[in-house]
Amino acid sequence: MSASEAMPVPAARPVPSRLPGSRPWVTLAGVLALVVLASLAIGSVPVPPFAILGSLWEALGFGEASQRLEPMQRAVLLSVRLPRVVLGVMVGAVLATTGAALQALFRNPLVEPGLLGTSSGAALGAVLAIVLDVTLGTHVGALRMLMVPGAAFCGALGATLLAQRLGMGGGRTDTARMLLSGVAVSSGAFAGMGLLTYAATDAQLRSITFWSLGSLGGASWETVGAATVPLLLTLGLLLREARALNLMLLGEREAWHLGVDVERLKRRLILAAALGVGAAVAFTGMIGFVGLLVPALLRMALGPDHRRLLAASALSGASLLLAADLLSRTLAAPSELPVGALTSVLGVPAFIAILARKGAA
Amino acid sequence: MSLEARDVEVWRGRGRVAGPLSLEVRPGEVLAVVGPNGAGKSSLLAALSGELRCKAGDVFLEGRALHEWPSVERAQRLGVLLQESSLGFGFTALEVAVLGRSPHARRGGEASDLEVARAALDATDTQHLASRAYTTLSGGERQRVQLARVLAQLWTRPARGHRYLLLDEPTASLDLSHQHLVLERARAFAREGGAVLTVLHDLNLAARYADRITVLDQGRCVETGTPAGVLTPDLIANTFGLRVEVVSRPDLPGPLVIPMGRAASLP
Repeated sequence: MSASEAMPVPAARPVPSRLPGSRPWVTLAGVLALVVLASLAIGSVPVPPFAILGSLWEALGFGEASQRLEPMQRAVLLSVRLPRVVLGVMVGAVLATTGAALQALFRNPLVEPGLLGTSSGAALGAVLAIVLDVTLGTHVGALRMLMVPGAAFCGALGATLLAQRLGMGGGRTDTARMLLSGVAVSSGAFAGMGLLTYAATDAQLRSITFWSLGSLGGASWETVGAATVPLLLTLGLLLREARALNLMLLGEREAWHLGVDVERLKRRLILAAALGVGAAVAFTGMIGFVGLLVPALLRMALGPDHRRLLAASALSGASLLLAADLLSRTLAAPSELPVGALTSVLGVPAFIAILARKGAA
Repeated sequence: MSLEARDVEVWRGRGRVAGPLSLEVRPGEVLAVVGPNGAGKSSLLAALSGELRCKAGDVFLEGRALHEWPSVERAQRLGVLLQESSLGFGFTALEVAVLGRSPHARRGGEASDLEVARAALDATDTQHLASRAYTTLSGGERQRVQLARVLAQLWTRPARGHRYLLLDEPTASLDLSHQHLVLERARAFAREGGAVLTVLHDLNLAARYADRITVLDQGRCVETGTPAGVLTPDLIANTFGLRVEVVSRPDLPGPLVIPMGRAASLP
C-alpha cells in the first residue's frame, strides 16, 4: 500500500477552488448582463444605462419610465449597438461551447475549433470572395453583402468535411488522424490565402487583413438574421450532448461500453462545430482564443462536468467577446482595434491568474 | 442465458489474433481466462464485449447476437473493465463512479445514482477517495475507482435477464490485499446471480476465485475446466514454459501452484 493510501486522507475535503451549487450561474449570468448593458451604453453616442433600462421597463408594459431615450440615442441603440451585441453574444457563446465540446471529443484541452480546418477553410472562402469581388461585385447587387459570409461558410463546411474524410481510418473516425488531417487542411488553406493575397489590390488587402483579425463591426439586423439559425442550432446540438461528452472523457472504448454510439456522436459534433464556427467566422472573421481559453478557464473553476461546463462556456464566451468588442471600439476611438487581439489581451491575464492560484492551492 | 462466443475469429489488421474458439460464461459463475502474453486474451475480451466485430462466428448475449442489442440496453447488462484508462480530466472519484450509472439515467434519479456510486466506492475500498480528483490518484487507486464505476453500471438488475462483468487483468497494479478484495467482489457479484469473466495472470488467484478456468494459447482454447482439473504441471509447462509443483491444501478452495523455474532450464 502506498503512503497516500495508508494516510487517513480527510474524506470530505472538496477539490480546491471548485465552485459549489448554483452560484456560478448567478455570477456568470450577472457578468453577462453587465457587459451587455455596458456595450449598449458606451460609445461615440453615449446612452445612459438607466434610460436603456427605463425603455425596457416601458416596452415590457410596466408603466412610464422617468428617463427616456432621445431619438438619436434610440436610433443608435436599435440599429447599431443592439445587433452588434446580439451577434457578439451568439458568436462568443458558440465559439466557447464548440471549443469545450471539441476538447472533450478529442480528450485534449488544447484543441480549439481552428484545429479541424474549420476556421482556415472559412478564411480561404472569404478571401476568395473578396478578391473575386472585382469582377462580380457590380452585378450581384443586394446579395453582395452576404457574399463574403456565404463563401466563408461554404469554405468552413468544405474544409471540415475534407478533414473528416481524410481522418477516417478503416471506416471509423480516428481522432488522432482527424487532428493531423485538420492541420494539413489548414496549412493548405493558408497557402491558398497567401497566393490570393499576392493577387489582391491594396483595398482588398485592407479588407482581408481586417477580416482575418476579426471584428463585430459588420453587425446589422441582416447579418444577425442570417447568422441566428446556424448559431443557435449549433448551441442546441452541443448542449444536448453534455452527458455523452462526460462519458467520452473516460475514453472512447469506455464510452462505448456505457452505451454511447461513439461514431455517431463524433460525426454529429464535428458537423455542429463546422456549422457554428463556419457561421461565426463568416460574419465576424477569425476571432481566436475564445474557444480555447474560456473552456480551459471554466474547467479549472467548475470541474469537467459538461452539464455545467457547456452552458457556463456559452455565458462566459459571450461575456468575453462582448467585453473585448467594447474595448476594441473605445480604446482607440474613433478607429477600431481588431477584436481577436483583445480577446487575448483580456483572457491571458485571467488565465495566468487562475493557473497561479491553482499552483498555490 | 449466457454470454457465448461461437466459433469466433478475431482479426487485427491482416493477422488473426484469436480463434477459432468457442466459450461461454454463465450467470452465477466466475470464469478465469489465463494464458501467456500475446495469447489473445484481450482480443477475446474485446470480441466478447462487442468492441471488435468477429471476422467469423458471432457473440451472443442471452441468445441474441451482441451487435443487434440496442447500445443502452447492452450497457445495462454488460460491463467491461479495461486494462488501462485514458481519463486525464479532473473528475472526482465519486463523479467517475456516477458516470457508470449513465445507461440507467432515465430511471431512478440523481439521488439514487449517487447512492449506488457511493456503495460501489465502498465495495472497492475507495470511499475515502470520493472527493479526490481522479488525476491525483495512484495507479492502483485509479484501477479500483474504475472498477467501482463498472460495478455501479451493473449495480441494479435489468428487468429481464442477467448481468455480465468482464474484467481485463483487474489486479494488474494492485497490492496483494486489494488483489484479493477485487476478486472477492467478483465472487460476490457471481453469487448475486451475475456472470464474471476475468483475464488473470496469477494462476493462484485464478485457482482460488474461479469456478472454471480457460487456458488460452496462440489464440486457441487449450483447456477449460475446474481449477484442479486444468492446472496440471504438464499443461502449465506446455503453455507457459514454466516448471511448477501443484499442491492442495484442505483449507484452500483451489490448488496451489508453486513455480519452480522456467521449463527451458529443465535437465
